[in-house]
Amino acid sequence: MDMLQISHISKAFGKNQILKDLNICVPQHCIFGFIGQNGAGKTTTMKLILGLLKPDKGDIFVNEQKVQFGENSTNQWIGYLPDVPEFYGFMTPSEYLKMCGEITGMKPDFIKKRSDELLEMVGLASQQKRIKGFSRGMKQRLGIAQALINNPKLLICDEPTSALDPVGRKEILDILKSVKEHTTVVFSTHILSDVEKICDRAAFLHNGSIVLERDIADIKNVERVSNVEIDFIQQEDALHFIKLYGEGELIETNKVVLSAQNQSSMLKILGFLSENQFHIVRVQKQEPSLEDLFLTIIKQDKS
Amino acid sequence: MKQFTGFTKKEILEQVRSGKLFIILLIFIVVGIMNPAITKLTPWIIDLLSDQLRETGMTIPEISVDALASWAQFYKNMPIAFIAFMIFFSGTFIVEFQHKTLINMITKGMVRYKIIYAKMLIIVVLWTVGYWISYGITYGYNAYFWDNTIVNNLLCSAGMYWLCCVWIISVIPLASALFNSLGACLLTEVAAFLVPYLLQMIPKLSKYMPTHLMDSVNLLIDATKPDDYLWAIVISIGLIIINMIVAVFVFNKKEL
Repeated sequence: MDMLQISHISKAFGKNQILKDLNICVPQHCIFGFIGQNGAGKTTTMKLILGLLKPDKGDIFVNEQKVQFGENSTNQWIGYLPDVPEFYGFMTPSEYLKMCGEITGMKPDFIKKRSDELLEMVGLASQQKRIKGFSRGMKQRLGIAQALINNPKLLICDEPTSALDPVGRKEILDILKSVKEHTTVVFSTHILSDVEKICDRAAFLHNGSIVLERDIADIKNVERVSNVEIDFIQQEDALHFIKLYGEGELIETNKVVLSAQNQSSMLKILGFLSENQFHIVRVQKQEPSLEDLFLTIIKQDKS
Repeated sequence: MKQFTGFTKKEILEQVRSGKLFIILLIFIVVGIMNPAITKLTPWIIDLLSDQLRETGMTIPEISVDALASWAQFYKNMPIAFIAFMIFFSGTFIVEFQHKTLINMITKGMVRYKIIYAKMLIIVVLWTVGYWISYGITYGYNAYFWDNTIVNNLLCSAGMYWLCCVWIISVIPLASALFNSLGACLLTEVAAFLVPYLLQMIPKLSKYMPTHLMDSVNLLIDATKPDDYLWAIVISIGLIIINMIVAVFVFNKKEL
């Protein structure tokens, strides 16, 4: 069964067409990565699923029930973590979760039990202070707790890791992974590595429509090309390397960049540096951008 | 009902912890004390001034004050308290829209009209408590210093003034659903008051305007009868209901 079904959705704000004939199906118990650059329409899609925006065309079904704009009945199945979750700063985390539980119609004793479990899970069990003093990471973790309070069938997270440090990111990803057994997760991001870590399937949103949808294993198998950056100790070495290797561009005093390198050419570069005894500070392989990955996959599909 | 009570509890907690409850009650208590205090002090102030004025050749006759003068002060000072109240509470929806704090509630299945009704309940309860505290304090001092029985239709007049203010309060959710800025919201409330206030100047329309209820001070001296305000009462109640229904309709269609 599909937990979420988006069918031929279009949405424009004035003359600005944000989504064009968008189609997505998310099966139950799947972690679905919704990838796209800033402004691609990820947040708009999520707000449409939540009935916060009215689609110009198309239908959305959550748990096989149609989403109606302005009415919130399908939201009973959904837990939502906004990109910047906002809370009532005058409340403590447990007071906030209690209110959320009451709004979702949970029984008082179950609210207490569930709140304690969730606060423990997100590492806020010992926090008795009011939310207004919370850091961004703490708010994000509380955001996940509030989204999961009523054991939703579908958890929607809008860029949950984008503003966090590596430790915070890992914590959030671990939490999302841990809820997979009971909940279907849709999370948007522009960070590829996050998708690879936890997702089962991913869709690429580009210019308002899905340009690519794949199982994560297929994306991982794509042979990626990325830029390699080498810092030399001396500029003469950098220039000498370019001359001998026959490739590369000097971008700073001692820094050379070799573009579009795959895994085997990376090994070749390392071997070449060692053979010719170049003195270097570091060699860095840059993470391929989303655009690079699109291009690689599309190119591979054509060939 | 659980959603409504859950959100109402949050509203109460907010008023208490933000200090708004304390400040609003303080304003109404101060106004309640000010009415008889100003009345009581007026002869003394005039007496002080008359000494200086006598030197310039002006004479001021001795002034006697009573409960009626104090109640007249009540109707003069209450608009100040009401304006402060409106400034405090006009942003109750706008702040939530701007900070996106309602998103978590609505995405949990909170029915939108319950948000409006919970907030309105708290605002009207606070207005009612504050207003009648002020009334009670003025009444108590007046009874102590003078005699309230010389004033006619006291409760009826105060009730009409209270209702007129509830009608203006009912514009808050509608203006908030229509606009996203506090300035636009306040302007709408002012406009909602000014239109009937100006129309009231046309004699034939006067008795139908909700703002006519503010003239209920005339009941105290028997210059008018309670029946004269019947149309204004009915129309005010009707407008309150219409404001609430339209606010729910507009809020349901609002993209968040």
